Amino acid sequence: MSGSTGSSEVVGYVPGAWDMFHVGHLNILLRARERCDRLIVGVVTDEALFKAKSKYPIVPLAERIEVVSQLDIVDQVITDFSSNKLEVWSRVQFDVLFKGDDWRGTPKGDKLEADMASVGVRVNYFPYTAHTSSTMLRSILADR
Amino acid sequence: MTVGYLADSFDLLNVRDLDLIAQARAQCSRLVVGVFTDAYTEQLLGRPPVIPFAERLLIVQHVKGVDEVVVHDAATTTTDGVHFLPADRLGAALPGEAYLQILVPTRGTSSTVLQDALSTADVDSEAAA
Repeated sequence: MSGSTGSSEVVGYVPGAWDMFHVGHLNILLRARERCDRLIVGVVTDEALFKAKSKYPIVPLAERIEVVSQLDIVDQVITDFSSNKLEVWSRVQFDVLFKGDDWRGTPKGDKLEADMASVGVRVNYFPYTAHTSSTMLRSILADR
Repeated sequence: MTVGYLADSFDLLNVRDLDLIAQARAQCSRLVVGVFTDAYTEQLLGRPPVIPFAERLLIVQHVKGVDEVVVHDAATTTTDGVHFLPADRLGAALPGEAYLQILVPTRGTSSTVLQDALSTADVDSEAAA
């Protein structure tokens, strides 16, 4: 058993902005939930999102946290302050990190896998469409 | 066992919706949630929803405290138990309803983009323009 939870329970971690929560987000969480026993959701701060994607979210952090917290498939929610997932792992221990497959085979994906491997965590990729949906939503709202 | 019914569009699900669901759920032991169809949303609020019906339905199904999700449209005439009616959705009151309770939203999203997208359109002035 990897990780340091000391039980056979598999703890999963899935980070995201979860801005304007939509069905693409829900599908990611449902898929992640199927692959672990306990799901921790990270919500990226406005500042960290701007640093990573050069844009601020539409919905502020506190409200994004609240929406995700009220879903029946989510066991715990924490604030994710940076792209360094070892920082998150130092606060909550998990066994598997879920990431969109647009990261697979990229330098940032390789670094993530190496960082996670150093604490016995595996990276599990799955098809990622949330970004597209969020971008579509932004443009729909801008046109209204 | 008290059954409660709460209906709304639940478009771009935000803290207002969660507040209403929590308020309703605190006053019943089983909460049925009605989701407005796209046509009914447009009829009642004067604008179509941003998110299509099927997706709004799927998301509300996974909100804590929601026991069952049903379709709510212009043909909906009765509910089981207490009907929790949001104060800003009085047009969705059902004819001859005996057990009606008005819920006043105590929260709203602070996102102005969401506020604009979810504002109720003034149908008359738009038609006149």
